[in-house]
Amino acid sequence: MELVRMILAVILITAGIIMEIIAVFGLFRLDYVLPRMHAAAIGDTGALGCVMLGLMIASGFNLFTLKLLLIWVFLWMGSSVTSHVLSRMIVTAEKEEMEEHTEVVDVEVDKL
Amino acid sequence: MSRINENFDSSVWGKIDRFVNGTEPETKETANEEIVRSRGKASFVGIEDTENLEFHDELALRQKEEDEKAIAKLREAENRSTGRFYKLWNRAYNVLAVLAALVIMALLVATVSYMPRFGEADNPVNNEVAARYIEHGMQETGTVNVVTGMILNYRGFDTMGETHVLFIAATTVMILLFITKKSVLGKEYKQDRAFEPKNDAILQKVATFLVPVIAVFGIYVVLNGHLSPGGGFSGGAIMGAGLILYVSAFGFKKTEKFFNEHIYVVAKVSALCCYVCCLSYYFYMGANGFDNHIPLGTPGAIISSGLILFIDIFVGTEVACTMYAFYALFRRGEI
Repeated sequence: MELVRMILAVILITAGIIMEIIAVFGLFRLDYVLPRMHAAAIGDTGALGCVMLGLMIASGFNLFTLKLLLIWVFLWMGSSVTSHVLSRMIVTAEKEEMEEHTEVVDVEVDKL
Repeated sequence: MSRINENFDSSVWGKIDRFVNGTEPETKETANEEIVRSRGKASFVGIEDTENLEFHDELALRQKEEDEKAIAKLREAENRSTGRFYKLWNRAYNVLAVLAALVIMALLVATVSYMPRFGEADNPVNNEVAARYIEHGMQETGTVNVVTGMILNYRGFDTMGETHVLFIAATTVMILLFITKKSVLGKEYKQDRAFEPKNDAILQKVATFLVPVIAVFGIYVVLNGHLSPGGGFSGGAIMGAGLILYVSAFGFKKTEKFFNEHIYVVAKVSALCCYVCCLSYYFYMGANGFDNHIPLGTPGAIISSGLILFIDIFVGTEVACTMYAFYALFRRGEI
């Protein structure tokens, strides 16, 4: 049982690290803000979730797990809302520049 | 705010200014002014005026000449940058930069190999100072958390100076960025405001959940600075971050209901004064030689360990106010 738990944790943490590497690669490779945010989001959500889940499985059921869960929840809230606000800023502030770099599909955004 | 004298060019400072910036030839604007003056007209009326049409022609001519000059300069620079010497220099620079980086890396690694091993008992780090902090820290400062005792008691002067640095930094930013006249706020300022995300539903929902949690956590860190890791600086930073999140989600109008300029000034100045009073009392009476009716630090009891708790609260107020003031001043020029 202990061995299975450890193997599961190692697999999850490794997956998280691989995702983080992909995120960093995309961050350096892409050239505009919105694609870059898309790349960084992999690290913010997927990699963080995998690493936290792996650590929680490795530590077992105790107070430390609860703290890890809290870190997970707060970081997910913070990073996703930050990218939402940032992308909204870009859409309002530099629309022409955005259309140069990316394909823009018209959707009703006035209800945001 | 200093004004430029009328005979600024002939003054000493003007000479120094010209020396630093190079002998500045007449700029475009002054040249245009000269044309206006030579035609005996002080004010600029409009293009419809026939006289002004000529005036515009003259301006356009000058503009063209200047443009040609600039293009010639650019071409010259281009020639220089594609020259053989320039290319060689560029390549040599790259090689030299890599070499310098490698040498510095090798030096640093060599230095690390001379350092004593980590965690040995007879390292120079483990001297009598650290031993004294650990053995007598509780008796002398009253705090369970040795780090807080060290920062606020043994090194009290240092921390007091840091708090004053925060105060002076906030004051300086106020001097530089505080906008008192509404007429100064031009069109650009209004445009800048238009781009802000106002009443963002997602941000507001998240802020309603996060801000109370952040505030409670900040207060906990400040109040438990003498018992557990934490203290005034970290707790104040957390509280300031919560305030900033509240402002960016709900705007300044709602924030001003509980935190405006008046409250900011009162809180900041009184916190600094009380801090200095507490600390000078400490220095005057001696840390463990006075009777303050507050027991030595006991884990779990908030009111313990002397005046450290109150000093922590004052430092936390100072730091939170400074962080919020920086944000507000940089964003809109007011608190």
